[in-house]
Amino acid sequence: MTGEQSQLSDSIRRLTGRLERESAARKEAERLLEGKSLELYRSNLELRQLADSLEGEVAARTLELQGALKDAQSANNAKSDFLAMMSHEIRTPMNGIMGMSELLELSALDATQRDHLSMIRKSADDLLGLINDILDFSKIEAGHLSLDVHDFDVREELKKLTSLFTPTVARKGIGFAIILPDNTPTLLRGDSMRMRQIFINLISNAIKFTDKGAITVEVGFSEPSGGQVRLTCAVIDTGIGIPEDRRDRLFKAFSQADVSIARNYGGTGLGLAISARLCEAMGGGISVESLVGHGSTFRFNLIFEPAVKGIKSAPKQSEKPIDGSTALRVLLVEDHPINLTLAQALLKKLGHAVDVAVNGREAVDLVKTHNYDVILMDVQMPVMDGIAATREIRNLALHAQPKIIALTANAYSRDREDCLAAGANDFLSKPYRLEQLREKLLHVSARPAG
Amino acid sequence: MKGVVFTEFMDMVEKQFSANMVDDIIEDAELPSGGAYTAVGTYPHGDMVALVMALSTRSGVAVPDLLRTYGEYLFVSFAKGFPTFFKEHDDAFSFLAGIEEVIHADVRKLYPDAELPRFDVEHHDDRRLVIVYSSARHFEDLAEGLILGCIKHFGRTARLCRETIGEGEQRRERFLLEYSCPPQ
Repeated sequence: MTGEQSQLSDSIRRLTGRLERESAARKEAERLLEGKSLELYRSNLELRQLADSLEGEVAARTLELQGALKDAQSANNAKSDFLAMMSHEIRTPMNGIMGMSELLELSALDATQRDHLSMIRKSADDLLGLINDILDFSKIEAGHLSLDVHDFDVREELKKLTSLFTPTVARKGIGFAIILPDNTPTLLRGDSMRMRQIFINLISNAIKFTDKGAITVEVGFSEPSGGQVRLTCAVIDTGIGIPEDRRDRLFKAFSQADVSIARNYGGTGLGLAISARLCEAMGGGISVESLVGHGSTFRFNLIFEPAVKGIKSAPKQSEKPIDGSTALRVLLVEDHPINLTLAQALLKKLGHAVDVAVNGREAVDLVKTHNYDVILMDVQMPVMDGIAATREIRNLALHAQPKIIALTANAYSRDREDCLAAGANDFLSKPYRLEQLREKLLHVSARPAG
Repeated sequence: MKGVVFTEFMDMVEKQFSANMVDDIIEDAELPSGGAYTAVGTYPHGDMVALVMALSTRSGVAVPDLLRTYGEYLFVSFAKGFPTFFKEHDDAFSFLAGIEEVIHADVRKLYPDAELPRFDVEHHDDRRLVIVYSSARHFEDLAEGLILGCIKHFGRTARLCRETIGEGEQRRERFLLEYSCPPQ
């Protein structure tokens, strides 16, 4: 073998060796890579399984929470339903208590009995107010608040408020004024009843907590957008005021500023909670500012739509008899203020025009100058009783004699005979219901005059 | 020992000496693996010892000198291969001080069973660094080469002293470094 040949074979041997090393190294690297890949794949799989199980757990938890939320909601609904039902159930016997004490008031009572009776009536009134508040609040809480939207005369509504509170503030000897701006619109569209409720709640509160000074109700109107009208109102009193730390609890249910307040001033603390929710429902809100010892200012605002058709026809509709017959001109002779109000309300509901006399003498005088279709004549009255008045009217030389229905507190046959003998056409025993009154009027007006 | 130490060593031998030298020392060392190394593998430490000794015999260069030279070479290829480790640093001492917590921590993520040497920092300020190398392999000279390579990489010169501390299994090497002139 020559030197060249041996050099060549050495080179070939070296190259072969290097190739073998490279190839072995490559295979080793591939084996390692495969192992690492498998390891990666496995840990990926584990990760995914972990993520899946976490996801499942989250879904299960969410489901659980949804269930709990539903349970809580239905429990809350059940509570509201229960409250509503209970309030209704309580109201039924309350009507009995109130009606009976009303009847009792009509009987012969001495001064002490009358005093006790008035306390019973006052308590019954308070209790009914309380029950009405609870019923109202539970209705709102249960989401059953629906607004009765109609056009209404805003000046008229606010004027009624003034006359409602005038006797109370006069008794307490404090000032009271509702201030309306020049731009007060004539008609607005919204729920006038709920608006009135808010005003009444805030003004009653103000009166309750104010012993001297005045209550000022400042009303303003602005037009935010789209023809809507924003009513803003500040009820400003000069009363005891509310400490700062108790203000934010005011609008929560059953949370008067102080337990002693319930003791000294009464009330449930529902009035403000109801008002706050009503304000929200009417697109506005409510807030309070106060300085202890100087007074409080409650501000609220409500959004109304512009009126569309003018005054809602509903109140006018009631001026037409509900049975389709013609409206009657009725003279109501009644000395008792509650009964008077009640009868007046019923007659108006039936759509009749009503004049009022508080004793027999006034009735006779009115009959001389006015034409009446029907006279509802109470029997027991001061100055001149119903029987004497009936007799006198029958003796008047009138163009047309009215029908006379005697109203008796009890249905003794002797009373009935006395009335008929005096010239009455019919009689109605108290307490009567709307339906009874309607039938009696229909019956009597269909007959020729007696 | 990580395969990259072997593959880089073979590269150095080929560049500094020749491809034939690689063949020769592999033959001389009589390696069980036959000298086939891959960077991602792990190989016996004894292979490296045998290869270095074979190279020393053939080249006539002393083993410590060969290891120091290889250390410097290895650092340069690390700097090329893993530039991300260098982003945070502009100073050799701070880089060396972070080897254990930054670089070795990352190496362990990929190779949980890697047997790495330890570099414990005893002192570190702007001017001085005292670092203790401990490894069952006792490649103190390779470590010195790496340290020198690092100082060169960051463009500074530093005085390096080393001393052996402890005995037997506790034997470790302490490196004392001091910049010879302020930074430029």
